[in-house]
Amino acid sequence: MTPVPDQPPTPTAGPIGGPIGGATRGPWVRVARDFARSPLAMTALVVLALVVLAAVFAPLLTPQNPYDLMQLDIMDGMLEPGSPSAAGGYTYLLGTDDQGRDLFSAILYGLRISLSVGVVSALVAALVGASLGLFAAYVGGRTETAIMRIVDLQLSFPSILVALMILAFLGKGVQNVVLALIIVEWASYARTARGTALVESRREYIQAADCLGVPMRRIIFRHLLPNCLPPLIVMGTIQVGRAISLEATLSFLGLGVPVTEPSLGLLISNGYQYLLSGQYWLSFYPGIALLVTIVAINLVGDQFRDVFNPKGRG
Amino acid sequence: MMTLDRRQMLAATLGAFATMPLIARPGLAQDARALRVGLGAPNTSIDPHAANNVPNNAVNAHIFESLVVNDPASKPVPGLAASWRPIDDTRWEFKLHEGITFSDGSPLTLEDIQVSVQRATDLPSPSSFRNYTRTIKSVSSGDAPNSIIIETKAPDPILPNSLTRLRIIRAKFKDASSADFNSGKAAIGTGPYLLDSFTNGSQTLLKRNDAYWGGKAPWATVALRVLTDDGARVAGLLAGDLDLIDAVPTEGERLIKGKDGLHLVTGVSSRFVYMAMDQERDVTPFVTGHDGRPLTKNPFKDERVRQAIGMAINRDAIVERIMGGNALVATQFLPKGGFGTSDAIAGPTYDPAKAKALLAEAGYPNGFKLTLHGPNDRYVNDAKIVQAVAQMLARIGISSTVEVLPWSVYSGRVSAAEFSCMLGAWGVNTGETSNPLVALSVTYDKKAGTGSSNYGRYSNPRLDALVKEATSTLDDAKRASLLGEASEIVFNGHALIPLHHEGVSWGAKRSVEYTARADQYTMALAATPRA
Repeated sequence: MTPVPDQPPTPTAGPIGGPIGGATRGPWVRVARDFARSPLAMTALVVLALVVLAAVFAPLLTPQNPYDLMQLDIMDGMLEPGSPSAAGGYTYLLGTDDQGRDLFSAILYGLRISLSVGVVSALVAALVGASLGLFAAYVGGRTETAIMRIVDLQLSFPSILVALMILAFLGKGVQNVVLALIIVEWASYARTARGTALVESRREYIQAADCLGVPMRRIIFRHLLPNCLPPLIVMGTIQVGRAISLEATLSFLGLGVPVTEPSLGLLISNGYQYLLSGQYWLSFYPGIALLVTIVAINLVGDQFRDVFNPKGRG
Repeated sequence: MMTLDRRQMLAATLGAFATMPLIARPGLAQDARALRVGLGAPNTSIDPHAANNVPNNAVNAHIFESLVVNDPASKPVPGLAASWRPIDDTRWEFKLHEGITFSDGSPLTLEDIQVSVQRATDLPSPSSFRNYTRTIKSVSSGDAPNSIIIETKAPDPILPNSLTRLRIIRAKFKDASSADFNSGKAAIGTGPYLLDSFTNGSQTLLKRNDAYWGGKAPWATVALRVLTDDGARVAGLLAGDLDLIDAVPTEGERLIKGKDGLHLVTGVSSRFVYMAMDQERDVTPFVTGHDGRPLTKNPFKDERVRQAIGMAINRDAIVERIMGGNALVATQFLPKGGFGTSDAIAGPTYDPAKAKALLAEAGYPNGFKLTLHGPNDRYVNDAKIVQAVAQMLARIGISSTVEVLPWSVYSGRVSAAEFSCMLGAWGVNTGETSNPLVALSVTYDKKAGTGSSNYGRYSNPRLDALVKEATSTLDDAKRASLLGEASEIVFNGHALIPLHHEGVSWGAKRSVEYTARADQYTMALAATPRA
C-alpha cells in the first residue's frame, strides 16, 4: 500500500511547529524576513492591509450607509463623481448609482462583503478540506480512496458551474454564497493536504509518535498538520482571492447577494448596462477596487509560495 | 495549478470589463431598399397559430394578414376586411376587400378563413390563440359576394379586436405542421412580404411580394435579426450594421439621441406597470413587525394602508430617474381618454407625510417590515423600480427588503399568489380596459379563466358583476361607462397601485422613419424610407 501522491507536494522548509509554542518562533521569523525581501510583495501587503482596514472601518469612513434605504435618495441617482449631495451635505466622491447610492460608500461596504465572504469561505473550506486530506493520508485504504475520488469528481467540474447549481438550489443570500464557495473549494485543500501529508507521514518523527502510541487525532493535528501548513497557507491565500472573484462572478450573474446590499460584483453588474452610454464610474471604480484587492492578494500569495519553496528562491 | 488559478481569476476580473459584445456581420449588401432590423426578443415560429407572443405576431404579420388590424394606438382598423358591423347580439358582418390573393396566386376564400379559425383554436400551444377565437361559433358567407358572417356563442363586443390576432392561412395547409411553415412550404399568405428564410433564434429574411393586393411595400428585402443583448443591439445600430432596433435600453437612448444620422422614436406602450398587494390571506407571509415577528393581521386588507403605500411612492421620480423619462405616470389601466377609463380617477398623489398619518390611523404608527418581490429580467428596469419603491416605503416607516427573481422563477410563484407585495405589469393589448379588468381585478377563478393574473387575489362582487355586464354589452358607449365604473372601483379603492405606462422606443437611422406602436410590434410594415 504505497499510494502515489496526486501531485508533487511543495517541499517544505523542514519540519515546522512541533509539540508546543516556543520552538515555532524560529522558522516563522525567517519566513517573515524572507517575505520582506520582495518590495513588490511588501507593497501588495501594505495595499491589502489598507483595503482590509478600509473595509473593517467602512462605517466610520463613509458618509452614507448604502444598505440603509432611508439614506438613499433616488433624486440623487446617477450623479457624476464630485457632485454634492442634495440633502446630506457631503460630496459623492465617486458619483452615485441609479438608486442614489454613494459609490464610494458602496465600494467600501461591498469590500466588506467580498472580503468576509472570501476569508470565511476560504478558512472553513481549508479546515474541512485539510482535515479530510490529512485524515485520508493518515488512514489510507478504502477511506482514502473514497475521499480522494470524491475530490477528483468535484475537481472535474468547473467551480462556477457547481456554485451556480448550488445557489440555484439554495436560493440567494450571503450565507448561501459562502456555503456554495466552501463546497466548491474544499476539494483543492484536501488534495494539497493529502499530498503533503503522504510525504510527512513516512518521516521518522511521525513513525516515532505512532510507536509511542500517541492517539491518531493528536498525531494528525499536532504533528502532521503543522508540517503541512506551508503549502496550505499558500493555497489559502490564493483561494481567498479566488473566492472573492467567484463571489463577484456569482453576484454579477445575479445569483449572489440581495440587490439592496450590493457587493463589488453586483455593483459592477449594475453599472455594466451603462458603460456604453458613458456613465463609466458605475462599473469602473468597483472594478478597480476588485482588481486591486485580488492582485494584492495574489502577489502576497505568490511571495508566500516563494518563501516556503526553497528551490524557488533566487 | 496555482498559476492556472491566477489566470482564471484575472480572466474573471477582466471579464467584468468586457463590455463590447461582438456584432454579427451584416448578411445583406448595402441596398437603399433593404431594411436590417435588430429584434430584442426572438420570434420562435413562422406558423401564425403556433404561439401568441409579440415577436411572433409582429414578424408573421408581414406574411399573413388578419381581417382586422391594430393601428399604432391599438385601435382596430380595416385589414382584409374593409368594414364590419354587428347585425344583432351575436352576429357580425365583415365585408372583405376586393381582389385579395395569396402569394401563390389563389384568391382568398371563405374556407381559408374557416380553416384559420379552426386551426388557431385547436392547435396545441403553450400560449394559444384560443383566447381570441373561443367565442366564435361559426363563420359563414353573407348575402353580398364579399361579405362573411361570424356568429359568436355569446355577445362579444371585442370580437373585431380579437380578430386582429387571427392570421389567415391557405385552407390546404389545414394540417400543416409548424415546421412546414418554418421551412416556407406552408408560409403562403396574403401579406406584403414573402418568407425567404427563417432560422430559429437567429434571423428571418423576407422579400417583397410584388403582387400584393394592397400595393407594393417600400422595402425590397427585410432582414429581422434576433439580438437579445441590449448592448449588442445598440452597438449594431451605432456601427451602421442595422437600420432599426427595438427595445432601446434606457441607458442607450441618450447615446442614440446624441449621434448624428440616428434618431429615437418613442411612444407610450400598452404595458401598465403596478404594485399588487395580498388582500386575501389573514396573515400575509412577507410582512412582519420591526422585531421580525409575524403580524396578527394582514395590513394590506386595510384600505388605508394600501392608500398610504400609493401616496408614499413618488411616481414622477420613478419615471424621471429610473425610466429616464421614457414612461408615462399611470393612474389607471390606460391613459385617460382610453376606452373604458374614467375621469373620476385621480390616482395617488405623492405625500409621504399624509401616508404616514394614514398608516398611524390604520394602527401602524411605526410601520412594519416587508419583503417586496419583483422580476429582474422581464419589464423595463423592473429590479430598479422595486428598489426605488422599497426606498420610498422606508421613508414612511415600512422598512423593506427586496427580492428580485428571474422571470422563469418569478412567474410561477407570483401566479400562485405566494408574495405579499409585488411588482406586476400587464400589456393592455386590446386597447380597452375589459382585458386588464378580467385578468387583474376580477375574482380569481381558475375554471372560468378570470383573475388569472390577480396576484393579490383581490375580490369584489360588485366589480365582478360590472365587468360581467360590460363584457356582454355590445353598445360601445354603455360598455365604456361600465368599464369606467369598474376601473373606479379598482383604483379609487386602491386594489392596485398604478406606477406607470412603459415607454417604448426604437432607434433608427435618419433615413428610416418609424411609427411608434403601442403593441410594441417591430415591423417593416411600420417603417418607411425617408428621402
